[in-house]
Amino acid sequence: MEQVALFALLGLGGGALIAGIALGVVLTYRGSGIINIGTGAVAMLAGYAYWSINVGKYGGTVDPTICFVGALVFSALVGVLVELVCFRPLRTAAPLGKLVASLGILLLAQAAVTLAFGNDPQVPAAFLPSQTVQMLGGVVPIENFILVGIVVAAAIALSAVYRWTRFGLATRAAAENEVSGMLIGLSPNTLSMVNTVLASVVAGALGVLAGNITSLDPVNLPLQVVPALAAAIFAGFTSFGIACACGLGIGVLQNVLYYLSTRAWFPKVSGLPIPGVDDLLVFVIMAIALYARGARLPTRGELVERRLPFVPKARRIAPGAVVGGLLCAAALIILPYDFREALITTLIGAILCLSYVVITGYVGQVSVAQLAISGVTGFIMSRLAEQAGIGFPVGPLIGIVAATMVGVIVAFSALRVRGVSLAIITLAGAVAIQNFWFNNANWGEAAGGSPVPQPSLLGLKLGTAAPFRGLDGQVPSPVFGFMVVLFTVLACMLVANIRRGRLGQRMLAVRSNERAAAASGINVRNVKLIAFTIGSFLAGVGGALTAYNSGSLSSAQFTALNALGVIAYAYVGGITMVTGALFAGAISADALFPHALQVWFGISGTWAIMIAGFALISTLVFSPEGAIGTAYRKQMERRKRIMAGLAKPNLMESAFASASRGLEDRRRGRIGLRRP
Amino acid sequence: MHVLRTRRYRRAGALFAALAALCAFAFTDSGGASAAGGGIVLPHLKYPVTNFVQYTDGKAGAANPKLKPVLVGWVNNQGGQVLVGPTATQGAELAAKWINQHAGGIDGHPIKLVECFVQNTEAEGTTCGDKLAATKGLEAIAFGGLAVGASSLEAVVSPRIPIFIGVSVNPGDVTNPNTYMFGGGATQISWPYGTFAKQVMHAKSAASIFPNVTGFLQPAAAQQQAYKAEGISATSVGLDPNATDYVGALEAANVASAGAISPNGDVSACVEMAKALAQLNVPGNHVVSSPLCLAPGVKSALGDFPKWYYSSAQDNLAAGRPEVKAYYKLLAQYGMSASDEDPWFCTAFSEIMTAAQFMNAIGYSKVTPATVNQAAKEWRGPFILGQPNIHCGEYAKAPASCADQQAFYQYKGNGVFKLASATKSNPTGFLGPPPSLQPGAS
Repeated sequence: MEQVALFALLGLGGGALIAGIALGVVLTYRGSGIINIGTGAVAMLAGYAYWSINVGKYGGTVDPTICFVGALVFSALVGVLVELVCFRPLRTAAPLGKLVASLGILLLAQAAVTLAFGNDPQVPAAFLPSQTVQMLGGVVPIENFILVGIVVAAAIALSAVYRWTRFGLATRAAAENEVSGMLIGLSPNTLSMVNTVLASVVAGALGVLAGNITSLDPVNLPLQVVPALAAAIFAGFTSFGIACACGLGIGVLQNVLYYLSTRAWFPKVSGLPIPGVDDLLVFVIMAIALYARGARLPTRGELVERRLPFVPKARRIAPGAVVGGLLCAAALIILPYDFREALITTLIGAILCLSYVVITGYVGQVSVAQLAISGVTGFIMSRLAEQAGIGFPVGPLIGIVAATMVGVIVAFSALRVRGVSLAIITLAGAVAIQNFWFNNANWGEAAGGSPVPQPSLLGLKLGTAAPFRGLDGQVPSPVFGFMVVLFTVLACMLVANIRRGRLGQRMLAVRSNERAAAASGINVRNVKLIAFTIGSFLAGVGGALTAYNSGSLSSAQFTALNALGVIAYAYVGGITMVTGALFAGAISADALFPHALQVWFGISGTWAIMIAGFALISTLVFSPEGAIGTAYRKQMERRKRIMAGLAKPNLMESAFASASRGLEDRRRGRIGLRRP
Repeated sequence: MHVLRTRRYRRAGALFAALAALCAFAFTDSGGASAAGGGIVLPHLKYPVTNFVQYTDGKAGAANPKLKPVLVGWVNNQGGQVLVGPTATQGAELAAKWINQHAGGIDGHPIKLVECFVQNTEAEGTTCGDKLAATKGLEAIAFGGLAVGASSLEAVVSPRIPIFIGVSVNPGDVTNPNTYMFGGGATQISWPYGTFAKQVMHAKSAASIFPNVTGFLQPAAAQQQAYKAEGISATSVGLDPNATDYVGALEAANVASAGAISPNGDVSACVEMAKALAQLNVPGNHVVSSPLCLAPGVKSALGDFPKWYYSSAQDNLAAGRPEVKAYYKLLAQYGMSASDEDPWFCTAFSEIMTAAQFMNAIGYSKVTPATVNQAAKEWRGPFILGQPNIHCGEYAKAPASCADQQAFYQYKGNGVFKLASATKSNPTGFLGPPPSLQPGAS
């Protein structure tokens, strides 16, 4: 027991960092309704500001206290910039759009730091004392206690501010009912700005203060937002106290598990403690808590009703599918090998994004686990092929069925949790799948790698190495591309037809208003389950094709950041439309658009990430319905204008004509009357 | 009417036959690559190798730049978020330059690297694979520090084009066909940790700390196996991949009482472990690390490398050895010094030098991927600036592993390394796995 207490104390330092970032997440949400995935990145920026001023990057070496103040001022400026450029323009956007925009902040910050200071970690001068104290039979750093004190004090202060000050009450009032808040003279913009700046300063302060217990690099600190989001969701994105306690709890849990993993009874893989247990535990606790509470985020009073973009009915599906399929097939033969590969990647990405069209676009549910679900298919295929000799088509079929089952399990979360809460819990699920399943040498990526043999059927080779190599005679073979085209066309037709049928109408009814849908006799639960089943099936198909395309799988392909990337592409493309998914596929990593940027303009690597982050934010600000959604809306508006323009003269003409006819008739009548 | 229908059927039949023929061409293989012929005479060299021209089996002098170059693919993680061996490309480029300027290239033909870098994603490995597979006349591919993209690349180019790896950081490499890890597989070169802990550190207990990421699980498991094989009690603790504070993990591994502590991880993890071990007052001579912690990023972050023991499959850290002196002399020709390079630089340099040896031994006119592959299979070392004995495929479960020895150095600070594993009977300092783990052991 003494040992458990010792490791609980040892976990306080890391826990305090998580708690501090969680406080920043809650603050931003309360102020602007945005779940800011970039909060950890703000902490990183502050850390770099402190380090760069301290080591004399901009002149002589500066005293740490001045550097700390400088870093806080810099954090505040970052908060102002983020609020003005990103959060304010998106105040009336759909919650998912805001979430995706904050991913853009994360990408921009990471890329900017990499370009400015490189990838290597930096060690800033410790701001807090780094001595240790002997207790409970071990050594505990003093800074752990100081950090906990600071974070707890910050949580108490913030709670007090929000409970007793005019600013806090105003923020709460605006969060409860934005319209009423405005009527009593509150400015949501000002409140949002102050909260965002406060959040940046809190996160930035922790980024500097925790410098001795975390490496300052472009990856580690920004990703602390993942456990911080778990803490924030326990807190309902409202309570500073619970967010702080949960953040500390996650740090403690992680360290106690380190101790328990050394016990003989702890499950082992290849002689090593089983990985990812902490992530699995966090996910399970979160799922149980949210399921039991049936919680959703506190509803914010909205100035403008926030909806996902509208869902147009697809027309002329079959001709479009045939023409599109034939064009792709021809392109696969004609294009050089690199663009052929990019086209295949585009189409696979489109299938993955189509799963979001069904789940998010049609039913309004947000699952970040789709990429992990696609990975389930891939790893099962690899295991079946390597250990049981089961290949194409049975292997992928089993894999897709398994992925669909995992998707149905995720769907059960969606029965009680919805919206962005569901996004966060599925994010935790995706992290747990990656660390507990894919990183496990027995179930996921094997010690000797996870190869996926080329598909073949009745002696016919269907993989990337099939003998027919297109006009340039190189791999990947267009034959594999044809298979991908076929599946993409079928997936597009399936999703487009769902929208046109009764199921699609039910899905849209559920998306629009679950209670109203239930009142009109729609079984909301079944509709959600069906949507997740179809979405997961599509993700499974995408996973199988990814596995065949890359020929081997690595758990690194399914990280939380990649999962968020996929949903970001889907949203930017147009998450409610099949054509949006196709566009999303084209802009996803290593697909046609990024490849063309690399080949024609030499833009790749960190610059490509920078551009992606910038494009993400600007697309959401200027085209909140996604690129294709906005283009479709504009096209419809143009068509309406033309119709209206045509209708006016027509009306005039018809009115004039009918009047003329009447006059003529009357005249004729008169004539007629006179004739006899 | 009947005639018309018959014609239509004939046309349809002809079309079907044509389609069938096209399908047969498109979907079935016309035949495999021919096996390499024998008759490759590799140079018999004495260890240590001090004559680098002799090592490449070339002739002193410059290659003829007007002749058609011999192409070797070069792939590394660089230019983006993924960074393992940042200086590896410089090492490979230096080797190619030196071979062309001083060792006569490949029978007078200049050697040229076809470079492709994986910056961020696994899918970029497929793109690199496509690019290298499409490059006509490419005879072999060499990897630098390739953790991301390696498996996807191998899926495209293997087994047709042989792959050379100095030090592998991708778990799948070890079973990939026609792949040769000159420095040894991750498992095989982690086994000597047990030998070193027993013979030199005289440890009774050991601790192994590693991030729970697939690339580090293999070496951590192998270290655990080796410690136990030597009768040393071992504790392993896996770090959460996003963990920040390492003190808890190190305490859980009982580092305070462990006689041998092996930290595994990337540059960030090395820095964090060094900070945490210093905070726990763990003496440096209780720590034995992989050369991953000798990356320039560690030095720039901490001011100097931690004063630990370091393993290395190469001997470039032993400044006094004759082959290292020759190497430093070569570096000096290009305005570089020993402090300009890290182990990845040296490993990459040695890889390209070895590829040149194979191709010179084969002869320019006969160089093909198949003959290069045959040469690699037959090669028995020594590896320049590396291990004296090479035997690719010695371990059945790790066919790509060519070696299983490591030398151990103690870092004294200010760039000074002392060969710690050398004895009178073993002056090179290379230690092998514990006897029970060696090939042929039950």
